[in-house]
Amino acid sequence: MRCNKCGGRPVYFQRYSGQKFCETHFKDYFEYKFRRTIKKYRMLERDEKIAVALSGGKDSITALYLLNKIGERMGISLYAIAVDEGIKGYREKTLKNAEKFCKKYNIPLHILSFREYFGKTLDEMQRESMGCYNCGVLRRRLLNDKSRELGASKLATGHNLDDEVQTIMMNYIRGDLERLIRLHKSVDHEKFVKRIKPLSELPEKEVAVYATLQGFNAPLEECPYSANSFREDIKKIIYFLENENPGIKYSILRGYQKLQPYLENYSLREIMNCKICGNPSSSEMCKACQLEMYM
Amino acid sequence: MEVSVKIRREEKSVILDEGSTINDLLKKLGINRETVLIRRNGKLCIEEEVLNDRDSVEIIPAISGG
Repeated sequence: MRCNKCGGRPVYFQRYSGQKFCETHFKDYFEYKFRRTIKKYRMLERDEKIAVALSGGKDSITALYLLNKIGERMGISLYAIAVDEGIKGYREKTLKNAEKFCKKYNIPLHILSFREYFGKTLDEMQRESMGCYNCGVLRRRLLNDKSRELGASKLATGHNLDDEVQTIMMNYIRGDLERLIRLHKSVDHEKFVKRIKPLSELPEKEVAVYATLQGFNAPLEECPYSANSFREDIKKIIYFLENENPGIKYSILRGYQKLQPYLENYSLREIMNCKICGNPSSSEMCKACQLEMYM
Repeated sequence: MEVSVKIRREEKSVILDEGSTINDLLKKLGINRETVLIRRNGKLCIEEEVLNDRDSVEIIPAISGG
């Protein structure tokens, strides 16, 4: 049981390919795959301003670290944006990690809080049955607005392969073609900052291995509200399938990509301007403004 | 043989048959290997490694929530 490249002590066994990697060759592989994903989907251009959504967890820290590494050669300016939803005992730790990381690599960090922008913390909202979906709506609103304010042409997130595959399966099950298409077809609106997901072809376990080998020390605590979501149920099913059939997550992603040309003719709902904030919306008022009305 | 297992803040001893691998340990504990990383005696390792008596195994959740 040795590294397939050099015969060294393996730290990771990639079951879907049968390859074992030592520390050095795993890092090389991971960084190559990161760069290849960026190139494949043409995520970056020279001299761009890129905002990075930073939670301080392993995924967003890894994405920021590698964008910073690649970006230097491409003249890219990076800005990290963190959202403090106000989740006691959870977010403080990840935000502390985010601050420490940005200080070390000299990356400007902007922290926006739910309390400051919406008048309440997520803990307070949860008492009114807020739910994961609505938290995501508000978080995306802050990230989009701040990215635009900073003049960023794109907003990078730490979404990994597992996140992508979970979203695909959730939308298949719900029959939500609109959201399924929006996964690969960005909203075209002057107030919408295009998203890029440079980790989207890397499994979450590989991101965790990379982050551990790099010593990022990202906190492992889970969001206390995530356990009850539909996504959590889907996760369990996908991990069961992956364990029984290594590589199934890639199969789900490739299957979705094969479907994309057939979804081209589907007429998406018209994108309107929210009558309150002017952000893109599928109805007269965007979801974030609707939520704000009930707070 | 007996190995010491740490999962988050919880520590316990687990009795295994001689020649058991980390994968056998995970199966015994009902943990899906796709969701964790393993440190054996402080070093990141693969689940196919054979355990020795008195090994210390840390099971680190690799999958985040939220």
